[in-house]
Amino acid sequence: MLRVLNLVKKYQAQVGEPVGGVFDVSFEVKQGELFTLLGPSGCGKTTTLRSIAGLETPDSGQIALDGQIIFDGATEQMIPMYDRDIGMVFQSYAIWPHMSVFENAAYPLRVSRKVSYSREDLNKRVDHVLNMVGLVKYKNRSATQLSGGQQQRLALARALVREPKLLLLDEPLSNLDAQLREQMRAELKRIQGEWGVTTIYVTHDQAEAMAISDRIAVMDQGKLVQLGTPDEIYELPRSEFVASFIGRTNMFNGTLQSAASPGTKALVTSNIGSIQCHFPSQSQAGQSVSFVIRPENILLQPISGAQEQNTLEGRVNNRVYLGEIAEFAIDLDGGQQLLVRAPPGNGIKAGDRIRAYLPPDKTIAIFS
Amino acid sequence: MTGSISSGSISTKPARFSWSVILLILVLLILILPPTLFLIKVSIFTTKPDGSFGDLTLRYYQQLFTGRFFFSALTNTAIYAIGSAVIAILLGTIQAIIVERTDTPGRGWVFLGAIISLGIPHVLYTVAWLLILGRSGPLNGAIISILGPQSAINVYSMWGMTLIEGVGFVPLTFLLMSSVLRSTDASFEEAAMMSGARPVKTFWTITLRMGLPGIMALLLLVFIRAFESFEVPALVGLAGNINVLTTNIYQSSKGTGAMDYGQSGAYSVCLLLIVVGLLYWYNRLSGHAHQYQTITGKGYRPRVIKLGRLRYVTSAILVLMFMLVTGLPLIMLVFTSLQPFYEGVTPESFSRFTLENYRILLGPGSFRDSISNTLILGASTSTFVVPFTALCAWMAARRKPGGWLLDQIATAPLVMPAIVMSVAFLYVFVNLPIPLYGTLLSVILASSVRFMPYGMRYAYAGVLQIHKELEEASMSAGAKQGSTFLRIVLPLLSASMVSSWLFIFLLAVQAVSLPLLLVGPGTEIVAVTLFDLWQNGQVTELASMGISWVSLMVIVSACFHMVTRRYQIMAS
Repeated sequence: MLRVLNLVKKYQAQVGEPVGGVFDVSFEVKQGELFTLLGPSGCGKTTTLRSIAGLETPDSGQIALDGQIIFDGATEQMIPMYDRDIGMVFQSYAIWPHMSVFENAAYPLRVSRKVSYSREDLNKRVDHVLNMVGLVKYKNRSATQLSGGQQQRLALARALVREPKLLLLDEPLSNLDAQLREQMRAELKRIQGEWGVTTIYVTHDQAEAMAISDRIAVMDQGKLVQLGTPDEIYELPRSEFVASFIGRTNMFNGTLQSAASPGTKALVTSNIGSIQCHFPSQSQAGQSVSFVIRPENILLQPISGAQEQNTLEGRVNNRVYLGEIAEFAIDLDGGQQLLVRAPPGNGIKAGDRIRAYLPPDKTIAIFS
Repeated sequence: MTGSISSGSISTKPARFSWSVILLILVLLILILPPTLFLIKVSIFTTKPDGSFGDLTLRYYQQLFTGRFFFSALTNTAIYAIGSAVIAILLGTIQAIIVERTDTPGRGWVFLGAIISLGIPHVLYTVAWLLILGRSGPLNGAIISILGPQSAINVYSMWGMTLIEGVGFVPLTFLLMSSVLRSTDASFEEAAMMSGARPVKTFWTITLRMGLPGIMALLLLVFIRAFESFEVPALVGLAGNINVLTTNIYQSSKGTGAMDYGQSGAYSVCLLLIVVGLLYWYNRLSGHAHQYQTITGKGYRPRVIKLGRLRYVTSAILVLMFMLVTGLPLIMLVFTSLQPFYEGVTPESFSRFTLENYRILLGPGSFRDSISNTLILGASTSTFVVPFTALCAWMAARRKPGGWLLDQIATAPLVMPAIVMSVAFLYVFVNLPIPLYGTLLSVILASSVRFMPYGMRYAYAGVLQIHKELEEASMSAGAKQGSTFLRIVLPLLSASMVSSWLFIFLLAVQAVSLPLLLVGPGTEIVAVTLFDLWQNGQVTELASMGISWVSLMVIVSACFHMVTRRYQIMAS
């Protein structure tokens, strides 16, 4: 549906090194998919989105939408943004204050040069889209009288009214308060599903990305560092950055003892001992690797019997009760820290000595 | 502990005015109250020949409203003000759009033009245009040689006044419009483009429509400025027998015979009331305009329209406009300043260039005196107004007890047109037992009052940029209010104070109508001298003096521009 190939867009500071931008980003988005660009601010996700929209001119690369090339750096061919048939919701919503709710939503139809809509047809389409976002009863109001959440809905309605091939959402929820954000998140997902529009969603909020996306592309410093479903990204992070950016994690460094092939387990010597890890890709013996394990995947046991493979011993330094779960900060005997999340009813208190088990299939090796 | 709380300003007890606030209010009242009271008093009391007041009377107002002159002057003023506002907005907006929203080559140079014109006294500018469009000017020369003498244009007419005033305001409207265009969030336009609208359509349906309240407010502002303007009506209108309110006041205050206090007082009060009404309307309008201005933190530059070949056309438009607004008048002045006598632009005139006029200027005499007088006037006014308003604005912005009153009083002179203030101060100085009338000090005092509101705006905006906690930290470190102001607030305000100083300096040295009635022999200042030289027909001396003065002032205005740019000072 959408293909982005080797996209490059550098921003030059007035003197010296380039600041920000995107460097050689490629990905494909499938029909009807909700695809998220996730990363910290300055990672290039918004630049990528604006390049797809046509609001930025990339330095090189190629972008194709529905089989049609809309940007090609080699031939310097570029279809202007207003001919791209892409709907976009801006971070600030950009609801025009001098128009009514209805007129804001009707604007894309009124300026259309391909089709001239009859009055009834236009009314029907605008009413339909306003109805879908729940604003039909406000349609004659001035746009300035809408609340933040309502402006957001109107921006969505405006982006969808001409049934674009692609919908772009630039951090659409970041200006809403926490409660409204969750509500709008569900709403967005519902509307996107009903409408079936291919969507690219930009956010820096990993929880939001997890909840809403079919697939996520994690970006860092202008590069796409990992692409996959939310489960894959969370369970099998492929870099230290992804592991630490998405959720909380424990990370250790070590050396691989023997070669490992993809999908197998192998032993890694590290400062917390010899740990068996899951290897998602081919790797040689002697290679230096990191491995990560999510706090909720670690099992805490009382100390009894001989110490088994992949267990560590230490003392509970602190226990934080969070309701449905408790967080344990553990000082390992080697001096390292380990963060564990476990059900609060396990009876473990601060000061207890404890044994922690790192299941090998949840202990993921990463190449640094 | 209790002692330190009660000496601070934040108190739970009924607000007690601190002595510093009382002192500031007193200074302001002494400066502002007497001229206002005198103005009202002369308009409702008869004046005896010795200057003392007689009976209460409404005769002067009655004369005003029953005579023809008031209403014909009012109509003239309205036509003139509307016409020049429309011209100024139209040209300024076109310029701003080309500069801010297109890729026209050389667009950055327009700011240079605006800087230069900020240094040209309005009276000089008017004179330059009269030289170009006047009877023996180059334009009429061309018309007469092609079409014959019967087709010659007469600049001393309503259209002449309107055109000169309107074109003179273009740098101001350009600067204000371009800041409006720059501050609107680009995503409004991007949203339109993403909806499928082409750049031109986006510009019409979004950019211009959203800017409309701002444009309307600006239109009204220029209208008010033209309404109370003096230079063009005095130099162009009086010669063509077109009276407006400001020139009527001037004539009744400085007639050939005895001065008619009552009538000029009544005129002044009427003009004052009209301006109060207009300013009230303007404040409401601009308040409304601000609702539309949603400035977000995202630093995307507004979209620039790529014009392709057309950009050379817009480039040519910019050059033409620069010539019209700044270039032609300056060229005409330089040309005139190099002539031994002024005869218009004739083939012979090119063979008699001379530097004689500049030599006279350098020699001892009234020229040199008036330049030094003017510099003293500008520097003293700024030096008094800037720290004073900084203190007032701080008290007001930090809501010290009585601070709002300081703000109100210091901003009040804004409603007084310069010529009205001049008349009002004239009454005060001639009635004062100490001989202030005709001295430079009297002009400095009047200027300080006149430009107080401008200083206030700058300082207020500056204080609001200083985070309050910076001062609270100083207080909690044990500093009292006074040392907090001196050690924390003043240094942080310094950038906006420097720019305010330069701005007020530029305004004060250019003013004609304010000092016109106040200066006497020995206290000539440049703008008034230029005015007098024109009346005396000493055109070549006027031109050389004007050009020298402009070169000096362009340096000041360039400094002003750099300081404002560097520290991003915003004052509305």
